[in-house]
Amino acid sequence: MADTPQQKEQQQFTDQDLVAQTLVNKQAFAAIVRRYEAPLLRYINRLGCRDTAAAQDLLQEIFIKTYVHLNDYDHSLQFSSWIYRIAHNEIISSFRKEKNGPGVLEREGDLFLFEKVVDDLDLTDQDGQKHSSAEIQAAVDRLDPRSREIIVLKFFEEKRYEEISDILQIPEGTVATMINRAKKKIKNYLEES
Amino acid sequence: MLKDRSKSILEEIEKRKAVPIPRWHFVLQRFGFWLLAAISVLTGSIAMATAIYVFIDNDFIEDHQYIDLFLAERPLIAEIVASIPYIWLATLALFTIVAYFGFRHTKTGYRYATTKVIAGALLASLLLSAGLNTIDVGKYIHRYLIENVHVYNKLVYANEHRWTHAEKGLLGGKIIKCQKDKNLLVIKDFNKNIWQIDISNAEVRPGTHLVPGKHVKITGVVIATKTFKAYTIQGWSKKYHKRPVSVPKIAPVKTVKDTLVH
Repeated sequence: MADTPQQKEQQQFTDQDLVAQTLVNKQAFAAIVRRYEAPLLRYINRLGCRDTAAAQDLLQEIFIKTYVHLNDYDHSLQFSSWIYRIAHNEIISSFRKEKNGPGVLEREGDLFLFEKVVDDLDLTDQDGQKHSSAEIQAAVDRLDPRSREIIVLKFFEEKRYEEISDILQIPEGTVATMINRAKKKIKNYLEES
Repeated sequence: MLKDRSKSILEEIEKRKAVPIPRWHFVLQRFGFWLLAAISVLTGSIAMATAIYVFIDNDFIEDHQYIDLFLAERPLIAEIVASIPYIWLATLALFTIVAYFGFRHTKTGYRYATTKVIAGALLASLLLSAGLNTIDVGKYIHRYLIENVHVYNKLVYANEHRWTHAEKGLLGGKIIKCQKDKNLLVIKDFNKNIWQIDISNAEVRPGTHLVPGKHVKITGVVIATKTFKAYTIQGWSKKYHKRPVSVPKIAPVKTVKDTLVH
């Protein structure tokens, strides 16, 4: 669907501009929704929300919560980190409510990202051959939710340490430690298999 | 599809009559967490000031001659371990955790490592406690509690307990009345018993003020019911224990010229 002239104009605005505009006129929030709808839906799926309808409902809740808390947005942070933080909290709370852990990772769209994980972690088997993306997927699926989320943010969402720190609200040093720990776990799982 | 979602979300916002929460709400919330952290550090520093006072006030650090009886019963190390004011250290630990919780919920509090925040809170409490003890805050709190809160006596093994053993020759308390002309001192001990003290042969240590309201440590012997004969009397606070250093006066050297003049 082609963008309207108004939408084209809104694309030029920064996130901060759109936040300021939304506080004056809520219609401007539509541009924020358009900008973050796809990445947030991917994030929800990558964290293991299997049900499409549930993912859509979760996405709606994330946007409404974002709108209600707009005045809490700290301009020294990247808006994307802030909205991902809200998404993270909503997803975790939804898993808790349903007493339902994350499901398997989406594979179809993320195939190339699994290969990226293989490259970044320099994962080779005993014969010196690179592990397949299917093997990596199985290993990532075995991770605990916290380790898995950090791998998703680092390798799938391609967030920097600082951004992950802002999203998960943990110190950068802890982010580095958790990534290393998750890498070791993945290597161990691969060796076991 | 994308257009529909943004539209449907705006409709949902409209339907729920959702509006952005005002900024002051978040400002107040953050201020609340800062206040919680600050109050916790302050409370922790009061706990630490009192802990330091209670520990330093113990007479095993100096004045060994007065506690020989106790040391004979229990080794010094056990005495020191028993004298650590655990209740105040536990209070300090509790408020340090609360300070961490408060700081963690400030705008950028999550960026700092737990160990650094806890170490910072403890250091702030330590520095503040040093300041508070220059105006005897620890002493006043401890003394108020020991005299007014019965449970506190059981929680802290303080110097006051050592000086509540008249049968062993150690008696401490607050001076109620002082009649030097009658060689009589009336004190209230830490169990709220009133004692008549015969000070006729007592050595009053330098710097000891025998005036109502002051706390004193008395060594001596029980001579009758609630009557005690004092051998030595000294002020409670260690500040007054140190004898003034007397510098001997140097006599001027007489010269030959002086001798001639005279």
